[in-house]
Amino acid sequence: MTRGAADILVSLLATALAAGLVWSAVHLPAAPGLAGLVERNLEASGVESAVTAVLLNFRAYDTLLEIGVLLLAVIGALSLHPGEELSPAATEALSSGPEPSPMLMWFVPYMVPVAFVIAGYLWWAGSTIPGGAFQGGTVLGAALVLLLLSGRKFSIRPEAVATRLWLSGGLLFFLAAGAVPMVTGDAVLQWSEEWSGITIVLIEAGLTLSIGGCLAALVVGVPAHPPERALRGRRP
Amino acid sequence: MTENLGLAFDATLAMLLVWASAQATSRDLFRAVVMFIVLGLLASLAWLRLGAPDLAMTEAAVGAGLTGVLLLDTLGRLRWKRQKRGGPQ
Repeated sequence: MTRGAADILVSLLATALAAGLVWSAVHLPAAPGLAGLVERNLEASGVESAVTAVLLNFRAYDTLLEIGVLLLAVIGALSLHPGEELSPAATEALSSGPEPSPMLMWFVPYMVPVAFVIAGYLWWAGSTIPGGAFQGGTVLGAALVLLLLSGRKFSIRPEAVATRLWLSGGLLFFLAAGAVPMVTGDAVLQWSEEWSGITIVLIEAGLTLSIGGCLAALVVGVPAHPPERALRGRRP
Repeated sequence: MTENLGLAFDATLAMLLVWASAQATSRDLFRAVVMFIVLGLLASLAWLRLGAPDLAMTEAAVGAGLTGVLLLDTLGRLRWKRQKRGGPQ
């Protein structure tokens, strides 16, 4: 089969697949979905935002596994760290590139506090309106990356116990809080109606801090300039 | 009037989405990464139009922002490694 004929065959197959998908999307039976169910039980969830109610109450294990996956990714990235003696690049992180521009140096001191406030607001707003731990955590992570970029006296040291507690704290607190309902004979992660509101807000606080740290650690986790021996080991 | 404007906006957005996803497969990796970020921001707008502000925020922050930064960082490291080997670029 020539190249041209193969191309035509592939495009025909792709077109047929796309047409099939469109056809089935158009002919989907009208399903009520779960929106009604969530709406009816919203009051029992402890928060007013339907999305947060699903993420942190009705389907809390989903979010629990999500933060677990994120932590695993960070552990994977940090495990690529070269040995005990840290290269300067590991602690200077992204500042190992060109000199930070004056604009960045001027901008960061103004921007970082604002970003911290926005992250806090997103965390707090998450219980009533769109927002929450992941959005807040991302803003926090972006602020930390800005700090690292500007080469200020801030670094993420993977070997420090405090760093490890910070990065894993969200998951650990989530797990601990999830185990509490077992004391009264309820299922794991089944918050009691009375305490669900405060539990969710506290878990989201922990998640926001940990997610921010994890995302920043992912960006700077491995030194940009690995020491010579790390490179040599991989070459044939 | 407002409905027509919304429809026109949605149609433009859909076309831009298709355009950006085509551009994101560019052979020039830097261009591909930048277009991937653009695609994420456009998708975020699309989520907003579909009435899912939560998804829109996550898409913009994680899909476009964080993934974009990680991809750019990876690109920088790859380039540095190639220079070290004395290869092209």
